[in-house]
Amino acid sequence: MFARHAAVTLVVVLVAGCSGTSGGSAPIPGTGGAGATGSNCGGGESGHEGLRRLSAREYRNTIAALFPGVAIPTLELAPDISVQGFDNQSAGQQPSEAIVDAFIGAARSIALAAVSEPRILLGDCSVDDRDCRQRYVAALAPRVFRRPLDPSEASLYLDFLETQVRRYDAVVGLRMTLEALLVAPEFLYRPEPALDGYAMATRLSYALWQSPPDAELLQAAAEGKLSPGGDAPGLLAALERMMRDPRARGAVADFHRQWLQLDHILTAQRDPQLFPEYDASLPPRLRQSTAAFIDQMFWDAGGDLTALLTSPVALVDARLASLYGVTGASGDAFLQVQLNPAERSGLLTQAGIMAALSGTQEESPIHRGLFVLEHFLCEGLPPPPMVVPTLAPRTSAEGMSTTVRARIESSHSPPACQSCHARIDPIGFAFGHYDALGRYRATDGGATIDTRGLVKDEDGSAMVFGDFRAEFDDAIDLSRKLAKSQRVLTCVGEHLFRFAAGRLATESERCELGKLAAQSEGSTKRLFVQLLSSHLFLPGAP
Amino acid sequence: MKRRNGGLHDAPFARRSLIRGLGLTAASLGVAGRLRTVKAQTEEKPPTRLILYLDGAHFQDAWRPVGINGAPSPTEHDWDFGEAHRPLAAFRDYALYPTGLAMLSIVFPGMRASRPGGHPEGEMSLLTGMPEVSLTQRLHGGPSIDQFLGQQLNKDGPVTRFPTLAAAVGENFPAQSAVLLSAGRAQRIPSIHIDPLEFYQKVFGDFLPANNSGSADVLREQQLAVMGFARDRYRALQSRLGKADADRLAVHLDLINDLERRLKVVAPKSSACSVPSKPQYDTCVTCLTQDRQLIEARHGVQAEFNIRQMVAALACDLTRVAVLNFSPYEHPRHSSLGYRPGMFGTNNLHDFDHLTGTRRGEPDFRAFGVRMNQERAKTLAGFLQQLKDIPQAGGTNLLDHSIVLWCGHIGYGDHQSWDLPWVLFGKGGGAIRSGRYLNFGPRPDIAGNVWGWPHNDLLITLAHAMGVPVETFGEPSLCRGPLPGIRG
Repeated sequence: MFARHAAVTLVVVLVAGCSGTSGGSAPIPGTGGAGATGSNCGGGESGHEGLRRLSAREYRNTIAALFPGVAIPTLELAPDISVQGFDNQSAGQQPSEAIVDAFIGAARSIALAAVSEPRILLGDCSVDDRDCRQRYVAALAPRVFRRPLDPSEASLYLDFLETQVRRYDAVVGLRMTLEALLVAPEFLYRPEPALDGYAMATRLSYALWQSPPDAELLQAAAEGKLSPGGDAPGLLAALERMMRDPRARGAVADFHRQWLQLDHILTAQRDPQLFPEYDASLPPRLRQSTAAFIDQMFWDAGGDLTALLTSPVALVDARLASLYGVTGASGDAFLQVQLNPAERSGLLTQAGIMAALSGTQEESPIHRGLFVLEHFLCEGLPPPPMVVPTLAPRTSAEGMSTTVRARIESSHSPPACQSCHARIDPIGFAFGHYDALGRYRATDGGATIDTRGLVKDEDGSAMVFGDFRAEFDDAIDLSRKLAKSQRVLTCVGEHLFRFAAGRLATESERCELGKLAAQSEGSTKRLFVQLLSSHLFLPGAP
Repeated sequence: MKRRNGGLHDAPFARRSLIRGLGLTAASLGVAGRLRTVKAQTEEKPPTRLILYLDGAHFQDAWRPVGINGAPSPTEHDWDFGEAHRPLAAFRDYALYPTGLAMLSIVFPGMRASRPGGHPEGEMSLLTGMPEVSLTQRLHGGPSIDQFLGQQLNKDGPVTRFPTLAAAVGENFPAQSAVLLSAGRAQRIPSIHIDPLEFYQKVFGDFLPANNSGSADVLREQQLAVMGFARDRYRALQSRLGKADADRLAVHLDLINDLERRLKVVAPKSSACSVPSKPQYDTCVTCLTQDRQLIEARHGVQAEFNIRQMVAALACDLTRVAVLNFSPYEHPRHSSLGYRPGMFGTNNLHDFDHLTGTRRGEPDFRAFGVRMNQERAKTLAGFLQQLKDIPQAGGTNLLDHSIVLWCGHIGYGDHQSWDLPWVLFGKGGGAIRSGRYLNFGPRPDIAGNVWGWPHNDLLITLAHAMGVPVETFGEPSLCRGPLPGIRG
C-alpha cells in the first residue's frame, strides 16, 4: 500500500463514490449495525478452497522436515506473488515457467544433496541393498504426500526406483526417485480429492506451522481424530499441542508481518537533510521492535486486542529509547519500557508503524488513514488515480509555514476528492503528533496540531463502521475505540482466514467470522484457534 | 465485452496459452501476421539473432543524429551521432537510424482525440503493432514481435532450446515487462528474468558439474525419465480433481512438456559458445526498496549479469530472439550523476522523463538529460561490444549476425508516440545495410496533425530479416511491407 505513492503526493480519488475492494477487502456485512455479530448468516455457500501450492516458505520448511540432517543447498525458488495481502493465496499460485523450472531444479539439487549423505538417509544399510533402499522410499513417500500411498501408487515409485537402478546404478536410481517424488503434484500441491483426516491435518499444519504435518498429527489423522464429523476433543487437543510448538510462533509472526505490512518499515527512506538522525540501520531496529511488541501481545498478553491497540509499552534499544524519549536502555539489547500513556497507545502509535506510514520528508496522514481503514476496519477503497498532483509545499510563497493537515484539507476540498478522502483523512489526522520517524511532537512547525477527527455520514453525523463510530479526539482515543470494536476483531478474523485458507472469505463466511469474533472474548489468539477448529476452515469439523 | 474494432470478444485466459504460442492457429496468424513461406536458415552461415533492447525515454533533440561535412541536417551517409548518443561512436558502421516512425497502432482506428499519448497503451502496442484487447487487464491484441518470431522459427520442431529469452533490469520489472510482451491475443508470456541467478539456472542450469554421474547426455536422459514419470502422475491426479483444480495441474503439465521439449534440443559445440560462470553477488536483486544505494547496486548487478548471460545464450544459439528490458525509472548512476528528488521539480527519474518534451529548452535541464541518456548509451555500447567480441565464421562477429533494436514506447517525454527515437545496430547477417540515417516521415507536428510512418513496417522488416517473411504484422491496415531501403 505504501509504495503506491510517495508520501508527499496527494491521493486524490476521483470517483463518484468511495467503495471498492482495494486489496481484496470488502466491507463486512452489517455495516451500521450489529449485523456482523447477528445470529443468522444466511447459510450461504462456502468458498472453494482452490488447489493450493506450497509457498516458497512452506516448501523450504517441508524439505527441512523431510530430510533432517541433510545439508540442503540454497534453493533458488521463484518468489511468491502476494495477492490479497498474503503470499500464500491460491489466486496467486498459477503455475508459470519460472515456477515449474525452479521446482524441477530444486528437486534435483535436493536429491543430489540427499544421496550424497547415505548414512543420514539409510542408517546402517546400503543403497545397494534392494530392501534397504525400498524401505527408505516406502517410508519417505507417505511423508512426501502427507498421506499413505495406495499400494498401486507405492509400487509405481518402487518400480521406477528399480528400473533406474538397473539402468544406471543404485545411487542414481535413488536420486531419480527422490526427484520424482519432489516434483509430484501430491507434493508440490495440496490436492484434496477427498476431505479426510489427512487433508485436515495438512490444512492445519500449513496454516499454523507453515510446515507439513508431523508424525503425531498424521497419527491423529490415521485414528480418525481429525476427520469431518470426528472427535472434537481430539481436534482441540491437536490444536493446543500445535499452538505450543515453536513452529506456530513463526507462522503467527509471518501472519502479522503480512497483515500489518511490517516489511514496509524496512523500505522507509528519509531525506537526510531533514532527518539527520536517520540512517540505514534504523529501519531494521524499528521493525524488530514492532515485531517483538506484536509477538509479546499475542503470546504473553493472550492475543488481547485491547492490549495490542492500547498498551503504552515498547521494546527499545538505546537508539530507539532516544527516539521515544525514554531512558533505561543501553546498547543493542532490547528492553521493555513504559511510555507516556498520554502520548502512546499500542501498535498504531509505535514508531515503526508511524515511520512506515510516512514519506521521505514528512508523515503521511493519507497512508495512516488508509492503513486503519483497510487493515482494521476492512473498508474496501478503490485504487488511487493514475495521476496524483504534488502536495503544496510546506512553506507557502509568502513564507508562511503550514501544517500537513492544513495543506491536505485545502487540496482535498473539491467534492470529487472528498468522496473518499472525507473517510481517509480524518483518521490519518489523528496521528498528527507523530513525525516521519515516529517521534512524538507537541507542535507541527510551531503550529498547534489538531488531531480531532470526525468521519461524516451523509447527514453530518459520525459515520459508523459496524459498531465503530468514527469520531475521536486523537490517536489515543482512536486506538481505544478501535480496541473495543467487534468490527475490528472481525476484520482481524477476516485476515486470519485469508492467511489460513489462502483465499478471501465469502459474504456468508465473513458473517460467520463475525460470530466467531463475538465469542473470542477480545482475543485474536483465541479467534485464530476458533477459526482453525471451525467448519469455516475444516469442513465438517466437530 | 465487444472490442471497439473488429467486434471480437475478450478471450478468457486459455490455460495452455501460458506456454503455447501464437501464430500456430489460423486465427491468431490472421491477426498477427500472414505468412507467405518460412525460409529455413541456411546452415552455411551463422543464424541471425534479434535482440529487442528497451529502455527509458530519450532526450529527443539530443539523440537525433547531426549533419556532417557541411550538411545542415543529417543525410543518409553524412551524419554523426547526436550528443546523447556519442558513447556509441565506435559502432557508427553498425548503426542505422530509421527516423520518422510513429506508433499509429495505439490510435487506430479513429481514436486520436481520446488517446493522444498512450501509457500503458503505448507499452502494449510497441511490439505488437496493434491496440490492446483490454487496458485494465493488460491484455494485448496480438503477439509481440519477439514471441511471434520465436514461435515461427521453432514451429516445425525446436531449433533452439528457448524460442525466446527475456531478461529485465529494475524493480518489479517482470510485471512491467509483461506489459510490453505478449504470447498472443490476450495471452501472457511465460516468464521474464530479473534475478540473474534464476536466469542462469534456467539457461545454463543443466550444465551439471562433471562429477555428478557422467556426461551431459546421460544427465539429460535421466532428467527426461524423471519428467516423463512426473507427467504421468499429473495426468493421473487430474482425473481425480474438480475442473478448476485439474485445469491448474494441466497448466503445470504443459510447462513440464515444454521443458522436456527444450531439453531435447542440444546446443551446438562451438568455440563461440562459452558457458558463463555462475553469477555471484551480495546484493538483493529482487528486493522492493526505496533505498537508493540498494537500487543502484541492484541495477548494476542485474545489468552486468543479465547482459552477460544473454550474450552467452545468443552465442551458444540457445535462443535467436532476446529481449532486454531496462527500467526507465532507475539508473545505476542516479546519485553520482547528481540527481536528487526535488531537482527540476521532480520526485524521480520517471517525472524527469515526462518533462523531456516540454522543458528541453532549459540549459540545466537539457544538460542533465543528456548526461542521463549518455549513461544509457554507454550501457548499450557495452552490450554491443560483447556481441562484437564473439567470433563467428569467416572472420565475422556476432554483431555482424545480429539485429539490435534499441527502442521504447515514448517519442517525446510525455508519451507522445510519434518521431520514435529508435535505432538499429548490427548487420543481421547481411539483412541490414547499416551505417546510415534514413528519414521515413516529415518532422512531426507537435499537435499531432502530421504523424509518421507506421512502426508496423519496421516490425515486418525485422521478421523478414529473421527469415519470416510476413506481409503484415499487427494491425493489417497500417502495414505497407518492409521499410524500403533497410535491407542489405
